Amino acid sequence: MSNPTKILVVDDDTTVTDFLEIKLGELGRFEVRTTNDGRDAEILAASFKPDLILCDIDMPDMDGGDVFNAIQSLDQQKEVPFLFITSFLTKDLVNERGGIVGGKMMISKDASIEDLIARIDTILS
Amino acid sequence: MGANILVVDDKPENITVLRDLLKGEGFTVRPALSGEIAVRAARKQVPDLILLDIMMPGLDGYGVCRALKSHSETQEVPILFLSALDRVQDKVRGFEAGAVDYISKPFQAEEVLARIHTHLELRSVQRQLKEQNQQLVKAAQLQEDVDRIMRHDLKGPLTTIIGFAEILHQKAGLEGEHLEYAQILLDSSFRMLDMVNASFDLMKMERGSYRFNPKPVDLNELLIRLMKEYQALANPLGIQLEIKACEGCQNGEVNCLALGDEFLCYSLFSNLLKNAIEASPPGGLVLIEVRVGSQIQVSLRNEGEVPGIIRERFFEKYSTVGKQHGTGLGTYSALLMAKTQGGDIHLDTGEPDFTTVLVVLPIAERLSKLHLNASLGVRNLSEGDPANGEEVEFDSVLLVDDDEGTRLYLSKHLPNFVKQVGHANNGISAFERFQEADWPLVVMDINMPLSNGHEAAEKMRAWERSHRPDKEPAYILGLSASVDDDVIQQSLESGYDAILSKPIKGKDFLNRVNRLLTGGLLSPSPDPIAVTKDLEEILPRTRETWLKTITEIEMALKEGDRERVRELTHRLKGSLKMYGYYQAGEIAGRLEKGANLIAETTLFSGLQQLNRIIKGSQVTFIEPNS
Repeated sequence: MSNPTKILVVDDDTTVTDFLEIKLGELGRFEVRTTNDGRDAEILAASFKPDLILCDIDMPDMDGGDVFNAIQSLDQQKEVPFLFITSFLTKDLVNERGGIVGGKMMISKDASIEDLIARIDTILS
Repeated sequence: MGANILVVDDKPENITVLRDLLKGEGFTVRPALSGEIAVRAARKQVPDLILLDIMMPGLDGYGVCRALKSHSETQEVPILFLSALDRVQDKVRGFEAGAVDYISKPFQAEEVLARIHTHLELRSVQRQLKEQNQQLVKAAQLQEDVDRIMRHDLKGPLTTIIGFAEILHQKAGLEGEHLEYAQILLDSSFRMLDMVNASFDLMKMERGSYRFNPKPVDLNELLIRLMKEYQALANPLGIQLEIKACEGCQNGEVNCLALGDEFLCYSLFSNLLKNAIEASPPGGLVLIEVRVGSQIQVSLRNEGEVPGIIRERFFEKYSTVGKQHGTGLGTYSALLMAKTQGGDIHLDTGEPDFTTVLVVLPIAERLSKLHLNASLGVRNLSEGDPANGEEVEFDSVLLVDDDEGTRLYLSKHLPNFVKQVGHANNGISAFERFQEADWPLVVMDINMPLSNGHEAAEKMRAWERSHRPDKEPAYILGLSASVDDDVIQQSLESGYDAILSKPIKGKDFLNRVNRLLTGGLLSPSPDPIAVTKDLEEILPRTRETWLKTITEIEMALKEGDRERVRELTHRLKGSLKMYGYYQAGEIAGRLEKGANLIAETTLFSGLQQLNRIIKGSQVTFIEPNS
């Protein structure tokens, strides 16, 4: 793979973006960008052109849904898959629903990093 | 009166000989001239022994024997064959048919009498054994019944008695002697409760079924707490309570932890301290001293003397003297509790004018203060001062209990800001009521008719998930008269958030609810924290962020912005769990859950716990894929 898969992580919590940047980055097959601001996410989506967006739901100002709508309205980024990360629901509750909640792909923050990577791989394959 | 003997022979002259012989010995003799008559006679009045001829027309001796052995009433009667047939196979056949002996004709009178006496005695001993055995079985059955009654049946009404005694005492405006009566009523009912609880625990330990999970217990802290509790008993008598910690603990360098069970340690020292105060002369000193060697030794000394008669039986069950309300179980159960924990108790007779009880318990470890604070951080939450008057803020409660008295009692203790109280008396109606409104708090008994608490809790949780997945789940608080590990485990699995043991003192009820909402009583002991190595570099920064978030939450709390508290605890929960701080994550989760429900002080104390875990916990760094 000459071009690593590009992942954009959006979460207002810096501890979460730090964590994911390390965990996904160290695998070597992902290029990871992170932001803690929904508006910034819109700009990064247009310039960075991610293959997948990992996005928190509960954020001040622009929440996950707002980010999703904003990026969907960008012509080039219409098709980019969104995986929402949340701590509203436990991993068991998310798994019970087959990883889809309210029509959106979702993963719980208490899921293991291995589960998250496996999920990303499934979505991208 | 002589034994009743049935003599069976088809020849009247043989019967006459035997009758004369036996009557001479004082036996009562009944003759039977055929096998058929013998069977009828034996069934009509069961003899103590039968002398039976074999060769008879019609039903022969073997047939009679089998007939009698096949009936429960007659099968135990010893049968002696008396026969001219004396081949070995005849005798064998006789024993096979169920005879106890075989006498050949012609017979010697002495031999017949000797054998009859032997078998009658044997029979009588057997009968006694059987009766004793039946009595033992009955007694064991009875004890189980009594235990059951104590555990369940007695505790239910006791809850009501304590509850209303408390209301009478505090709220009924009684004066003078009536107030005193209410106090006596209250004291007595609590003493009764103590006895019920104590005997139940004792029974479990005696049978060895008490499940002992050794954990580090901070004895200093526990003893200080106990001392405070017993101050009320000691003060009016002018008795001084004093504790001397071990040197290391006094300097504040280390803390000494016993390896034991906190509950057992508490009960053990509570019993001994109470005894020491009661045995101490007025104005005396009760001194508790902690020493540490290869084990932890705690001595409790008072200035009273143990009476000679009790000295040797000090730790025996039911040994008591000179105490008005003594059950004689205190020291005995203390000994059992010490032994259950791998320790022991002695009475130190070294100083003649004092009574000193020595308790020895295994030592867990001596820990540095920092580590200790972290390791005790979670547990302290459950041990908050019960008299600090915190109040829960919720507007509706669903009370579920088959005992109307308990429900009434609980509802009397709910604060004024509760506007709606729902009642249900079994699991089925509880689930129906549950669907009718949003109940932030459900207080539900576990043992109920029709459908029990576990079934109801399961249905409630399933319904919440399918009907309002976006809303806060209700806090389901369990009440049970018999709380053990199995009950707790089963209850948590079925959907309860926490279990309280019945009966509950009214003034403790809300405080307990408060503490439970922030994750007190049922929190497991602190887990070791393991973080993968790749995060080592950013962990300090993350910790700083967490601590900053906690400060932010505290500020929001002071400003009364509960929604902000919820948001921030929510964020903290997700992050903590991600990094492997599962337990802290759980606490944050409960604070999030209780953000709009519980008192400010309770939330603050929860935040302090988080602070302590984040700052104080020792972290091991592990390989990412291990």
